[in-house]
Amino acid sequence: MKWINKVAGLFFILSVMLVIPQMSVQGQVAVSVKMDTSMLLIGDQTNVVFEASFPESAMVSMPVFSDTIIDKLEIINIANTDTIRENKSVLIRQKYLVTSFDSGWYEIPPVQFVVGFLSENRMDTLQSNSVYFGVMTMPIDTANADAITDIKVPIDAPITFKEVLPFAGIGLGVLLLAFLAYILYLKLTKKEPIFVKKEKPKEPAHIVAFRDLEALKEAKLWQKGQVKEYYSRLTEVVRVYIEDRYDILAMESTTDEIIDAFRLGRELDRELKDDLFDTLVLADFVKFAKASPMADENEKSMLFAYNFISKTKVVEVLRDEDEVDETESKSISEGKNE
Amino acid sequence: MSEVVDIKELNERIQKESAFVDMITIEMNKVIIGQKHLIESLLIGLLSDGHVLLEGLPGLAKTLAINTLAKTVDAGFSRIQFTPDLLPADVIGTMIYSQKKEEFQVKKGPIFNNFVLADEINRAPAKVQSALLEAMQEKQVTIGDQTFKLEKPFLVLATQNPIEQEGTYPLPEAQVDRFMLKVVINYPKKEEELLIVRENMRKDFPEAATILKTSDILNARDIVKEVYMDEKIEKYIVDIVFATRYPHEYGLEHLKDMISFGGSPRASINLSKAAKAFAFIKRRGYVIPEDIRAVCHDVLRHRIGLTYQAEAENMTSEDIINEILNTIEVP
Repeated sequence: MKWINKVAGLFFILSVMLVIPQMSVQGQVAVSVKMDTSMLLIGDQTNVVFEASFPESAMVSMPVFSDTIIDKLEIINIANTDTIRENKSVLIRQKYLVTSFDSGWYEIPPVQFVVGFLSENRMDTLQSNSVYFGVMTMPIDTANADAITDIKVPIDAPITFKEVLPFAGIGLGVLLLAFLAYILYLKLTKKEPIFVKKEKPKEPAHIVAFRDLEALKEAKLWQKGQVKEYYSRLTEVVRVYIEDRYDILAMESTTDEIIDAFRLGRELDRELKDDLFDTLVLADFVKFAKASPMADENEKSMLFAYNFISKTKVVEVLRDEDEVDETESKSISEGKNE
Repeated sequence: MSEVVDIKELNERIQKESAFVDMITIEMNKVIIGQKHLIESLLIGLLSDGHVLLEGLPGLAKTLAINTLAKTVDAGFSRIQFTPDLLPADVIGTMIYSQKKEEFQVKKGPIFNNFVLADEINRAPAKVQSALLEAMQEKQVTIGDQTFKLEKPFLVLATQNPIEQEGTYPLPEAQVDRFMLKVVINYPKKEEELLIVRENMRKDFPEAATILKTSDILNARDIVKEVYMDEKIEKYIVDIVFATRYPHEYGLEHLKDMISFGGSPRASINLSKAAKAFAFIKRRGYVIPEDIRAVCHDVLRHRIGLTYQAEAENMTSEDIINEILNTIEVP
């Protein structure tokens, strides 16, 4: 009997020697499932938290859920996994935001966590606790007839500028397009160009005329025998000047018509008018009747052109600012006196 | 100033030869009060061998003016009153059987005269108009199997009334084009009308005297052809006529839809001839732009076809000519 006791004692010692180290590591691993609440109102949301605590030397594979944890418990959101390391132990926490739309009592059965013991080169499976929870509907006071009410209408939220902005932008865009289309229609029906190029301000008529006369003088046309060309250009300069200066259609008018236009209300010195007529008639003779005037007549025509433009040019009188101020203050004081 | 010899010589010759123009004008003014433009237009037609169509309301002395012009020249004159029952033979003549000679003889119509007044030409049917207008163009007439040259000078002066369109046969464009000038006659001025009344109340209505022979007219026509027309003037004429055809090329885009057809080359030819005759009347040996502008309306008004759009906008060929003249640069 003694040896039996000895063998039993040895067996016990061996067992303790084999199991105790295993328990010492295994005992440091803990897995659990928790819910924020055990009673859930239908449609309400709550968190289901899966936790695993284990030493650094071990490794735990957390259970993975995609749509539901169990039937009737739907996952709304899966939070990031929290890993907390403290005193050579690790705590992994996985949080699921869940809801349920069916009333009743439910159980989240024990969930299996796979644990790897790296130092011992083995794996094990640990089961968590099971969790019970209830999903309840709205308590209805059946005794009270008014307790059941209709669904509330959505609350009217004030319209914000941000909400209105896109519609306002589209509206303005449509109005702008309509306006542009109208302008385009007007232009097309009136046969006007769609885009009008801005013209440079015109040079005063006399400056253009003097420049052209200088060019004509330098060309020395009559001296080269090109008398007809000389008179054509000379009369063109004078006519262009008259057209710009007096607003007479001189380029499209005959000599008689130009002189008639001066007779009709446009002020021009009689002597100048006669000289203008003589020069234009002489030019007509040269241009249309093969006349060849004497050299002094050619010179005289050029001199007349200079003289005519000099005496009839528009002179712009610029006043000093002081003078303007004086005049204005004078007129104001005169107005007061009145 | 020394002019080139040929122009100077021509000017002097024209001064001399055109003296009869003043005489005709004086004679015509004895009978026709006012209507200076009408008289000038008739002289242009006479001197440039061009037929004239006169358009005006009744009583504006159209027929009287033509009668008077014919009287001033010692030449054959006939008047044909166009009516709906007129036949071509009534105008050009026909073959008549002579019992005495036992053969067909040619009976020449009133067209065989120097001056033919076709009164109210738009009242005769197309075949009569056609016979007359063909004779105007060809200057000859065929009766039976014989062709007869018409007299020289041969001038048709036709009249038409712009109102009373019922029962008329408006001349087709192609036939109106045969007339060198279409002259529109307006009412006389107040003072002129007063004189007209006085003249008509006199016991003896004045008559124009015959002062010219047909040879004088033919001679004058030869001189008119010699009137100098510069290249610049020729270009001006061509520009005006081209502007009636392609207004958009002359900055007159808005007229493009108003004109269905523009002036033909005959318009350019007649404009040149009329301008030369006008220069002759003004006793000048050369043409100036004023001459072109003076005859432009009469030469072009019946040669521009208007579209329905132009008619809807009350635009006339006169307006178109005015716009063209105010757009094209004078040389």
